[in-house]
Amino acid sequence: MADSRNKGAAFERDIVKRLNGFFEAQGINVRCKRNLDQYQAKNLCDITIPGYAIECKAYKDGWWFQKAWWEQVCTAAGDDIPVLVWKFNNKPIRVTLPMGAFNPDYADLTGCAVIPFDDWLDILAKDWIPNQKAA
Amino acid sequence: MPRITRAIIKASLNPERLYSKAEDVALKMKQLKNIGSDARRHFIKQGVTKEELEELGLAELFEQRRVTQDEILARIDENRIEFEEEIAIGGRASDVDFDVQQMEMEEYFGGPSGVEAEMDYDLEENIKDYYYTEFVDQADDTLNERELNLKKWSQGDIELDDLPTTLINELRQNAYENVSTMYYDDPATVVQLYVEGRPVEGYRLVQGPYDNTFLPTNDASPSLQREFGVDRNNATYGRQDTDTSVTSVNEAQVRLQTHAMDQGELELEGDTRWSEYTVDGGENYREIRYRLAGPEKFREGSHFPDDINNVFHARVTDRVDTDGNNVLFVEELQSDWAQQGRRSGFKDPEALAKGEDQIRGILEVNEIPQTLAKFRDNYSSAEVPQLLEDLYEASSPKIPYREKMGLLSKFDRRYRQVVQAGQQRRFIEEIEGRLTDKDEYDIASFEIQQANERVGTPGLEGTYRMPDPNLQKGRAEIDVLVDKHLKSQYNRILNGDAPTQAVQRIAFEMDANARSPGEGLRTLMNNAEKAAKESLDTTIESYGLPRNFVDGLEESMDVVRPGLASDLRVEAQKPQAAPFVRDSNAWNKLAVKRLVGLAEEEGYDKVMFSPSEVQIDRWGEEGLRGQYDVNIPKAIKQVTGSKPGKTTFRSDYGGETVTGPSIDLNQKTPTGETVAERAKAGQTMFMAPLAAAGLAGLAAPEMAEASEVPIDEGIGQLPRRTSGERGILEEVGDFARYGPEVAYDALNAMIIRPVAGSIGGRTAYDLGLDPETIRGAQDRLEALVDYEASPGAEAYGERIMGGIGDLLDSDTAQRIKPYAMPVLEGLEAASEGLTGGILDLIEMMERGGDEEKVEALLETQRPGIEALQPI
Repeated sequence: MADSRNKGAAFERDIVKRLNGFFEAQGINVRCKRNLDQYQAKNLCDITIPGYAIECKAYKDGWWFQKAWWEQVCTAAGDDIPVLVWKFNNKPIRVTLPMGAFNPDYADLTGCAVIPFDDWLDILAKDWIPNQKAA
Repeated sequence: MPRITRAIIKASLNPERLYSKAEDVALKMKQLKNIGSDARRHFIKQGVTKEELEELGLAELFEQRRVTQDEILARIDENRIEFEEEIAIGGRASDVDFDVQQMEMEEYFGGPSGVEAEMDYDLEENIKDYYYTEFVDQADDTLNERELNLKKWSQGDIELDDLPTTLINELRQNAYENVSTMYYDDPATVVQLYVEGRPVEGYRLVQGPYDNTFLPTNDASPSLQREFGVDRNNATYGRQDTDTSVTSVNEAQVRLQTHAMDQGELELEGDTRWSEYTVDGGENYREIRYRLAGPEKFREGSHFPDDINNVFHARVTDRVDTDGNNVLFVEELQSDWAQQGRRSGFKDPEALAKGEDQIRGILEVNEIPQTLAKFRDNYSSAEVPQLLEDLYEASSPKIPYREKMGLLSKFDRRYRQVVQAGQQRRFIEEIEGRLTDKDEYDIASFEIQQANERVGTPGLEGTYRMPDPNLQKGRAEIDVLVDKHLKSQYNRILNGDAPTQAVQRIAFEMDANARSPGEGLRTLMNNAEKAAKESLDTTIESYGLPRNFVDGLEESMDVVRPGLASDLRVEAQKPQAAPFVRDSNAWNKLAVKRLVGLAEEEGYDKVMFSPSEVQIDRWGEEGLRGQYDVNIPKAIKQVTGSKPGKTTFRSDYGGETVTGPSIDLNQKTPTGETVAERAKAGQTMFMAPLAAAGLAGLAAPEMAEASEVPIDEGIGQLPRRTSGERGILEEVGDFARYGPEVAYDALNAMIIRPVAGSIGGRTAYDLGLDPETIRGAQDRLEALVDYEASPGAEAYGERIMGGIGDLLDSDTAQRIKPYAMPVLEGLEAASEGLTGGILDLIEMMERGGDEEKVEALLETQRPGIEALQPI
């Protein structure tokens, strides 16, 4: 019998592993870990990296992310860019991002867009250094 | 359980250790010359499938009266089925690296001699110049010996070699320092490609001092030098511009990597494409594509767009099951080729050729193909006018007739459009020339009125005014309005509407014989069309085509059945039929064998297949249930002789379990060896030799066990049963020990098929048909009960298999009897037919009947006689 809490934690660990692998490969001096305080306090994201607040959701059945998940990460993100990383069994990992994360000209748009996880890493690789300098 | 030692495989194994059963049987033939039909029966009896006989051209060869072993082997060689396998591995990109360093001076200048040359240059151009300037204005008597020597050398009075050795050494040392300082001030940068941690020889680009561009080093591979146009050994050297486009280290890296990929040095094509679509977790993700070698027969375009002829693809990962076994987990197993064939049907080359011949024949009636060939011989594409462009394209001998039809239709449409435009122009010219000033004024007024009606809604400002015919500008405006009017009248006539009065009147006046304005209009239109057509035909004639070419073309095209060309185009786009892709079972069995082989090579304990739920969940297609719940388990049963096992592993997130059908590589097959051992020894491409194994076990298990007789030979030594020691029910029971499929295959190959063939042959003979038809009937009836080849026989086979399956648990003949009844009834009828046939045969032979007929009947009865003899 699957344990849904374990499932979520395992997924978060996997995302942390992927992100740290990415930072290492890119030569970016950042290491992230799961935010364990999330269990004690509300409105905290699962993983935080400079400039981004990441919420992970892993469920058994489904095809698309829920609006409530997105609202949750937007609330928790504060000034950071909200990032919702989600997946269902047997389907690829997807990432929901605000439109402004793709193009600063779209920053005032309220909409979001969904991309594969690896594509988000490509965006991070491209934008990381300029974004961090700007920050 | 008897242990049957498998025959030594004489056929050649392909790299995946699959072999042709037919080749194996051919190599083991004891008789070098055979009657064709005997050879065919021998092959089938030995477990060669009809599909393999067809694919290798043996079915046709066995139609010959006599065949030799050499002929059979030559035919197999000619039609040999060869595969190519490509396994894409994830994460290859990280194995590529680059080293960017400054190049040592000596290497840059091509060794010590190159440095020497640079020093010589420096001595002549710089140092000599320096001393010349230094001493030119100084009197010799003010100089010491060293300085005087340097002055003389700098002014060319003496050679360098004439200077004292110490001075020469000093100058050369200076030159070296100059060259060295200048070089290391801005040294060459070299980019070296590394794959798997090792430098790839010859893959270096260098940017020299003061150069902007990276070029191949002197020791670079010829292909790289050719690519940059710097290969001095290449014929194009000097004619090809040097490629100076690479100006940065990053570009140099990309260029090296791309070149290495093109040259196959870097197996980046091994990159996987679909790794995201897997059950969570798992390692060593791979995509296996197994394809038919040879020219393109099939291209799928989306899963693996660059691939051709993929019989199947399998996506696999490594898992550890709940019992700790290493599992090769098949995430997906699919044949795009078979799937497309199932949906659209396979291409029918005969129907295609017939349709092409039909179109060609019709066009030839008016000599269209010959005319087009001549047209193409005389002109190049650049010389033909726009009107004839489609015609020219259609004249290409490379274009099939189904495509030519489209181009010819396009040409005809364009021809018609041009004729119509000419007709309109002539119509307007004819009418305009006969209009009076009043006519023109009235027409212009009419047009103005029409325009104002369209515009004149209340409140809308601006209406059109009638131009003043007394002014030049007004007359020009009237001309425009008349022209517009006549064009619209022309269109009205084409649409079957009556034109305005003025046009009708003029048309009526123009034709003296016209009895009505309508008749006049028709004459006017016909004459305009005729003139336009004649003008166009003159143009066509000027390009060497017959004046009546279009008439002939249209006549031919009218005869071609509407839709024939498009039907043929649809047919041509269907996938080509090929071995294994015609039916799901064939490619699934091949895939299972290959995956088992791979698992054995790489030391896995099990092969496990994705359960259908995962596929349906992933893709949302309920139809996938058939492939994963039926086809794969069925193929596993047929390949291993056992029902699939069940294996479970835990996925990454939350430890959810996935359970699917599996093959344990250590499980025993009916022949006593393990699945792994069988895979290691070699597997047949077309079918597992289980039927044969079952037969050997059935016929003489104790004999096979004692002597370890190879199965194929064991079958050849089947005992002839003459007493009633064991009845057929016991035989069925023996079959059942090895599983229902084995039993059915054996029954089918040994008894049902040959007896059915005999019955068919006999019936055809009774109807007085010729030997060829008799033989055809025999084949058809054999095919009817061929479970592998005939969908109709499937239900029949399932029924028998179902019955036999239940026998596995039965002890008594009484219990067996109801299930075996269909077999018994069939055999009873067959025996009766056969007995009748034999009696007829004996009678005919005694009477000295027609030899050809006797021969035909004898041939049809032979399989049945041979099959029933043991019983």
